[in-house]
Amino acid sequence: MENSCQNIQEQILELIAGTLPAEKKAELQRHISQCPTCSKYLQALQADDKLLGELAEAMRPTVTRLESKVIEALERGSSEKPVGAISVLRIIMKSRIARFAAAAVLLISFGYIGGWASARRLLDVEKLHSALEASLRPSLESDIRQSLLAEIKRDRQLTLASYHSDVKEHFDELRAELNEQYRRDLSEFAVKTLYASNAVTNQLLRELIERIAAVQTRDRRLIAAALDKIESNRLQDKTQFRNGLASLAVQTADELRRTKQDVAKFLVETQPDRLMPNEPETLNERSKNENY
Amino acid sequence: MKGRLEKNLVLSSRNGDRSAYAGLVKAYSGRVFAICLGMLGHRDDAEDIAQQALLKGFTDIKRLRDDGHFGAWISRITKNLCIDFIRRRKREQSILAKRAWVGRNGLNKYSGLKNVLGELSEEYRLAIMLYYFDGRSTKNIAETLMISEAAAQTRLSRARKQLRKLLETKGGA
Repeated sequence: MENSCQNIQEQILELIAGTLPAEKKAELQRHISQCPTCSKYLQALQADDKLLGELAEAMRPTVTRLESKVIEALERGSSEKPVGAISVLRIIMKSRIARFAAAAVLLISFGYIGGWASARRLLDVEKLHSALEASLRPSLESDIRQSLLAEIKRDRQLTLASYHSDVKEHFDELRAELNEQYRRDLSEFAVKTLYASNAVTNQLLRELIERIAAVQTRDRRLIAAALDKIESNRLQDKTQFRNGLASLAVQTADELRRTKQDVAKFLVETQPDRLMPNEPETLNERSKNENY
Repeated sequence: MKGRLEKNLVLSSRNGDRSAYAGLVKAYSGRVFAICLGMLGHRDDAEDIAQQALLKGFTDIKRLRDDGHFGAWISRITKNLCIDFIRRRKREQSILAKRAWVGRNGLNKYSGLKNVLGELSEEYRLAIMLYYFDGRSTKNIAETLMISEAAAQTRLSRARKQLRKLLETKGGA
């Protein structure tokens, strides 16, 4: 494995963890699409992730059973445990009147105990108990009842408030979870689309290059054919031109000879005395020489 | 579970409300089980210790000072119980490492993975267990292991790398 691939595999771990910066993703995807080792590594990590998720899911019943066991144990504990004296005392002491009554009971009790101690005579405990009970029962009972009713009312209000906040919080959690899921799906879709679009783009580029090459070959053939045609035309034109020039030269020579003959005739007819006896011959010979 | 709801449940649980504590049990049983499974490596043991931890949470909840940190607190209780269990086991000369990781049948499909998880170091195994059993959240790992979220991410990445290496060498996948 190359060093660069080792670095890339660190980035793949970051990609799986979802911590890879967005600007590095495209470069990483490009490398993965070209490197079979890194591509295989990514696939293996994705498979591990899936398998671990499945393992956790397979153990879900164990967690559910654990929850049930704990909740059952809690409920058992609730039904077995009696309401403690401290709890009753706490309820009683919440009311101001009850606190006052309790203080009165304590004061009276201390008074009796003090009196008993100073008088040094036996205290009728039963009598004291019944007297206290008779005097305090009506006020204490009504206070406890009112206190309990107030407690129940307060609990109900707290439960309702808590229920509303629970519902809102559950709703918020659900919304956040849905958003998260949506983001994850979108990201996955984007990665897949990027892969697919890369492959399609590569294919299209290959096809385009092939087409361009084919067109270039055809153009080269056409150009070669055109050049051949031009060359052959040029040669043909050259021959025709040469032939034309030759025939023109012959025609011109003939024309010149005829003109000279006409001039000689004209001179003979118009000024016979100016010519030497051998002059026409000289003219004829000159014209002959000019022809050649 | 976070925020006011958790605080309310903790407050009610402290006053002896068992149904409120049941709500906390449902929210944190996955995490508690993951810690036990990560530290003990055996499903049945993990289930037993997790149950003990969650019940201890109810009896000791009055000692919880910060109502908003029930997760970290119950995690600490669970880890301590696991450490006690491991010590007890060592005293009983039971070789924990030789026990089949995760335990019992029914998960044969994952046998290769389970074997390799058993060979991971505890910190890496714990990070993986917490991530996959507790809502795939590095924040939860950070809270449970009392480390920063960045450190939790690093640990999870290293755990994945180590796991892959072991799977390649052991031929688990």
